[in-house]
This record gives sequence, structure tokens and C-alpha cells, in this order.
Amino acid sequence: MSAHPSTLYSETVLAHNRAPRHCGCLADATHRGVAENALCGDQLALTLRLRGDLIEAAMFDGESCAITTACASMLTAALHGAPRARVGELRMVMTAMFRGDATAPGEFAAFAELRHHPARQRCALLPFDAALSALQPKE
Amino acid sequence: MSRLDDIAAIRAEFPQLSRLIHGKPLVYFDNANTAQKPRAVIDAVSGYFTEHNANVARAVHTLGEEATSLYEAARDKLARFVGARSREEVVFTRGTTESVNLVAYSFLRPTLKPGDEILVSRMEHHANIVPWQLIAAETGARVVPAPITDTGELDVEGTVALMNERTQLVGLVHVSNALGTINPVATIIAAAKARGIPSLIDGSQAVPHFKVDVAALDCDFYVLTGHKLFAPTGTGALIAKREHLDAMPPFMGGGEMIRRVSFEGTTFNDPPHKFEPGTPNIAGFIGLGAAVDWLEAVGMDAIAAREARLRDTMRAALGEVDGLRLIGTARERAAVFSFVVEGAHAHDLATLLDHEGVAVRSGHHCTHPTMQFFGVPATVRASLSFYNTEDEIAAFVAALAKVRRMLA
Ligand SMILES: Cc1ncc(COP(=O)(O)O)c(C=O)c1O
Repeated sequence: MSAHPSTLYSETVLAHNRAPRHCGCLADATHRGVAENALCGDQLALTLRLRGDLIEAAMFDGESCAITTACASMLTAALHGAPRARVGELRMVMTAMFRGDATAPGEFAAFAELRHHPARQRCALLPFDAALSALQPKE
Repeated sequence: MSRLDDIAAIRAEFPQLSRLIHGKPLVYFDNANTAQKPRAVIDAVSGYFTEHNANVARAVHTLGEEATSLYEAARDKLARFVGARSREEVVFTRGTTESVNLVAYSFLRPTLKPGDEILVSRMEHHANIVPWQLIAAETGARVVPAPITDTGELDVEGTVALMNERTQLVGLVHVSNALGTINPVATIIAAAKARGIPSLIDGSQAVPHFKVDVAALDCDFYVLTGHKLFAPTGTGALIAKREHLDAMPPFMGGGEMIRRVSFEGTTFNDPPHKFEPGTPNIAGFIGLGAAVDWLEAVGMDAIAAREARLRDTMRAALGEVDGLRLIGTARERAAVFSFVVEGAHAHDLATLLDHEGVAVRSGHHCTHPTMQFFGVPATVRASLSFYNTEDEIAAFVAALAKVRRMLA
């Protein structure tokens, strides 16, 4: 197959989309959150297991586009063993990257091209928003 | 002999169609979203600004007279184009959305009571659902969905069965933007009329594709939007029976819509001006007049015939694609196709198709209830117009195969 003009659908993104990691629901989740993309109706559910402020495990569930799926796959991997504050920090770096002001760490840098696809940025933010919603104190 | 026989010449009149997108020729299959504009429309709009720019209906100088007569000529042209009974029945609005809201707030809301029903089909655009929900919530009325079938056709019997003494209005889309279905509007209008129920037809996706005769349909309200009719955005119309326009209170107040204003009381202008407060989108409506002239010169019957051929070619081509499921398979349909593809999300397909030069829409097409009915969150929609070609259909199918290999 010839090289594609877009680096948005890079091999990194496509590989995660084909075989996403941490897909499903944690049976022993302590936190659960959902986020929705109004543009396409995609819904993503995220389950987390926390001990204190440390995230021990994360999984995601839902049918979504390649961008959302790949990002959810990366995020759930990045959150294993991370402090809960990591979600917000990473999201901030992502939005800064979309403005051209930063480069996100590791594989998340694969989404830099979203700077030129404003309509698709929400797709990559969806897993972060599901995680933030999971971590939000509930009544 | 039709001007459409020389499709290269027709396409040359649409400057946007010769654009390259990511180095590839643009294949514009997003016509249901908005249509491209012919040079005649672009020139009419810029001609207004370069030669006539003035306000309408209030300036007595030459420029003002010119602007007013061009603006009012556009009303005559649109009235003729859609078969309105008279020019006074054509109210200019910003588009379909405003037209529906005008009917909701000025016609229906003043008399709506708790328990009343507004019947609209399950394949309506949000523009023909949400305004009714807003006034229903205020008055205790109810919006009742009229049933559709698995093929994406209106269940006519089921719909008529829902018309009763509580029904205050029936709303139906003429051609579905999400499914491509052409609805039997005349049947529904007649059934509603026989029960004394007013009807509103959303013609947004009908008028660009075939000849519509509003007087013959005999609906109470027909609404349309200019930008899908090759005219500028921010233009549209409500075509309404004169008796309703006479009885309806104004929707918005201001200049132009009054006859005399005093603090003791104000008398309103006659329809249609009663419903056109303030300075309108003059250039846009002059563009709409030019669009209608252009379409009539080409001929709506020739346009419909060409689009029927493109529709059949497209339908056959889509049928060959493995794992593709058409959403909406009505017998009577326009060249508008919604589909989902196994293993590929609509947004990914649309973004990747764009890199091949193909413009399609992905998403829910402002028809959440329709999408829910078919159990899909989103579809890809390819919507064709007369200026599209068989070569473009072939290019689209090749691009679709290529992007699917990428996602596999
Ligand atoms: C069937 C239908 N109704 C209503 C609308 C709304 O039109 P507008 O946004 O121009 O008011 C559209 C277009 O999006 C449509 O396709």
C-alpha cells in the first residue's frame, strides 16, 4: 500500500485501532465514567480501579472511531500505576498540542496532526473526558 | 436537447468543482448538506454590492429602488418556481429552521392546549422536531412520532391512524436528508385536510431535485432553505396559505413589518412583509432569485432525469461493496445515500475519503430519532447533484475501497 498523505492515520494509530489494549470493563472497578461525542453519537465508557490516589488498572468500552479507540488504548495503558492527577495533566498537554504549543509524551504524539483537523480533536479527547467523569466525586 | 448534455460546460459554471483537494480532483458528494453555487449566483451577489448596494423598501433614491426591485423580483421568481398561489404567500426567512419556528410560534402556539398533539414523522430533521417540542413543553401539548418502516419509508396507514381530534398539525419531510426517501406528501396532506388538520411540508431536500407545485399539493405550509438550492446561506422561505398569514401575529417586531407605530398601538404591514422585520439578507435573496432563474433555464425535469440516472448508477455501485449496509432502501428515493461499513467508523471513512478528494458527510445528519430507529450512531452520507458524474461515482467507489484497506 502506498504511503498516505495524512499522518493522522499513522501506523501507530492504526495498530492501536486494530488491536486495542485494555478493551472491556474492569470487574472490580472502583470508578466508572462515560463521555459522549455529540458530533457522531459515539459513547465511551471507562472503568478504573484506584487505591488511594493511585490508578491500578483502567479499561475502556464502546464502539468508536479509530482516533478515539487508539487514544483510549494509549490512555488506559498510560494510566496503569499513575496518580489520578495524570488524566488532567495529559489532557492539558493534548489540547496544547492541538494549538501547536506542545508535544504530547510517547505515543500520544501520534495525534499532533489533529491540529489540522479541528472537527476531529474531540475524538481524541473523548477517553480523557470519560476518565475525568469517572474520577469526579459522585453524590 | 438539454443543457445538461454538455456536463463539462455545466460544471465549468460551478467554480468550486474544479478545485483540487489534497492534490486530487474534488468529488463533491455533500450536496444534501449544502450545494455549490453557479457563477450566475456569485455574480448576482457581487453585482448587488458593486452596483446597487442600498437598503430595501425605505430609500427612494435610484440605488434603493434598484435594490428593492431586485429583492422583490426574487420573491416573484421563487413564487413561480415552487408554484405558490401568489407572491404574498412567500415569506423570506433565514432558512428552513426559521420558517418552521415562525409557524410554531406565530401559527400554532397561540392556540395550543394541554393534550394537543403535533404529529411529525420519525425521519424528520431536528428542525422539524425541536421547535414543536419547545412549544409543546410550554403549553402541555405532545409531539407524536409518526411511524416509518425498516426500508425507511413512511408507514402511511400508521401515520393516518395517528391523526385524531387532538392533532393540531402534521409535519412531514418531503425528501429525507438522512435516508433519501421521497415521501408521499400529497397523500398525507389530503388525509390531514380531510380531518381538518393543517400540514407543514419540509421541502429543503425536494426543491433542489425536482419540480414542486405547492398550490397543487395544497399543504398549509411549505418550507425550504436557499443554500441547498444553489443560493447563498441565510436565505429561505415559508410558503403559507394567505388566510393563515393574515391571521397569524408577527413572529418578530421591528422596522419594515409595520404600517404605523405609536405608543398607543401599532398596526402591522400586510403579508409577507409582516413577517420580515428589519433589513433582510438582500444580497442573499438576489442570489436566490438568480439560482432559481438558472435552474429554470436548465430545466427541473432535465435535472430530475439526470439525477435519476446518477442515483441508479450509485445504487448499483454501492451494492457491489462488501460489508456495506444502506440505511434507507425506499423505492421512491433521491440520489442521497446513507450507509455504514463493517469494521470502519463513519468519521474515519469521511476523513480518509477527504484525503482522496471525496467530500461526504458523516454523523447523524441532525436526525437522531432516525438513527436510533436504525440502531446506528452515525452513517456516511453521499448525496449527489446533477453536476456530479458517473466518473465521480467510480472515483468514489475506488477511494472507498482504498480507505477500507487502510482501516482493515
Ligand atoms: C430535511 C431538512 N430540513 C431542515 C434542514 C435545516 O435547514 P437550515 O439549516 O438551512 O435551516 C435541513 C438541512 O440541514 C434538512 O436537510
